[in-house]
Amino acid sequence: MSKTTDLRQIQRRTNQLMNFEDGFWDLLLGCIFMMLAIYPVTRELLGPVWNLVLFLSVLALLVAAELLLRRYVSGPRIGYAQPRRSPKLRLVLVFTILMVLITFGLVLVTLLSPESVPSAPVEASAGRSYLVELIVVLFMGGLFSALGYLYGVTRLYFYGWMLGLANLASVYMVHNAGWTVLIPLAMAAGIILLIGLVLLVRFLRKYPVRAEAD
Amino acid sequence: MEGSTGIDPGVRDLAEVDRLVHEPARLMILMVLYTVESADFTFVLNVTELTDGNLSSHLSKLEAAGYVEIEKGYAGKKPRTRLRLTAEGRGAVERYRGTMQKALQNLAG
Repeated sequence: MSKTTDLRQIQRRTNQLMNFEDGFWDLLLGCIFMMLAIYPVTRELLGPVWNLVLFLSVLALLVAAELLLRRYVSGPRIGYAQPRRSPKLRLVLVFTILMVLITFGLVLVTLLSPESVPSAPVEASAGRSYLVELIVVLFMGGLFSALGYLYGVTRLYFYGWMLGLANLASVYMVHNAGWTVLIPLAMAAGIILLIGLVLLVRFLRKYPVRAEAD
Repeated sequence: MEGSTGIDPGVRDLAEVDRLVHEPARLMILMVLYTVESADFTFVLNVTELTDGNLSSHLSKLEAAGYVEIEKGYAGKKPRTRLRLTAEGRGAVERYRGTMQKALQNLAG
């Protein structure tokens, strides 16, 4: 039996079990950033418009898959809970959605800009590009740290700074070594995917499917 | 102790604690349900790490006191037991927290 009766601990444990225990969130995040890492290559092959269509289609499929897996794989194992719509939780939810939308918007703007194509480097704006990427590092680190604190999930702190720095390193390698694939970002995504996989295996072992008990 | 014969206010406050809520396992169950709108049996079992029998026993007591609402139904073909804190249960948890905070403050001096 768990010894804790600390309400904040129980709240965090509840949030963790509802959203982060099964590793699906990590697998989704890893897949998204892996797609972003190979985006320049697929853009060269498909052109900007079709590449964006492919990206958004795969993203929609991944999100749908995650929801279905939550419903039919995680749910029967950990059970179901309906979150309470407290004012604080509404604030957390609004903040999370806002940050996700801003991040998504920034990513789209970056991907649609000519500078995102490695074969057409714009030397004069390299300094500005690094400044933008530095802001991205701080934004990602700050955003994920805030989410980690709000949801009580420690690894989110690590994800934010890792992804931000990997993105900065990728931009540096694109400008200076002519890389087409954003390898540091792909490595960061790979680490997140690996963590997600480990969490999933651990989850499946720890929580077998049970027939509902009285 | 305050006064020549009076009981310490902190100790007196503790005597007023709701003993149904105060039991550690039941307190955990109530706190889990306090943080959600509703949850099923399996979810509460996983968060509290109690055994099936233990959880059932405590839920029966809480239901008898009117603190928890237990709704038995089905999700497809699988039975599912949904648990929800009643308004009375929510009030009991809040009163318990208030009593404990007051008692601990008084004990601290």
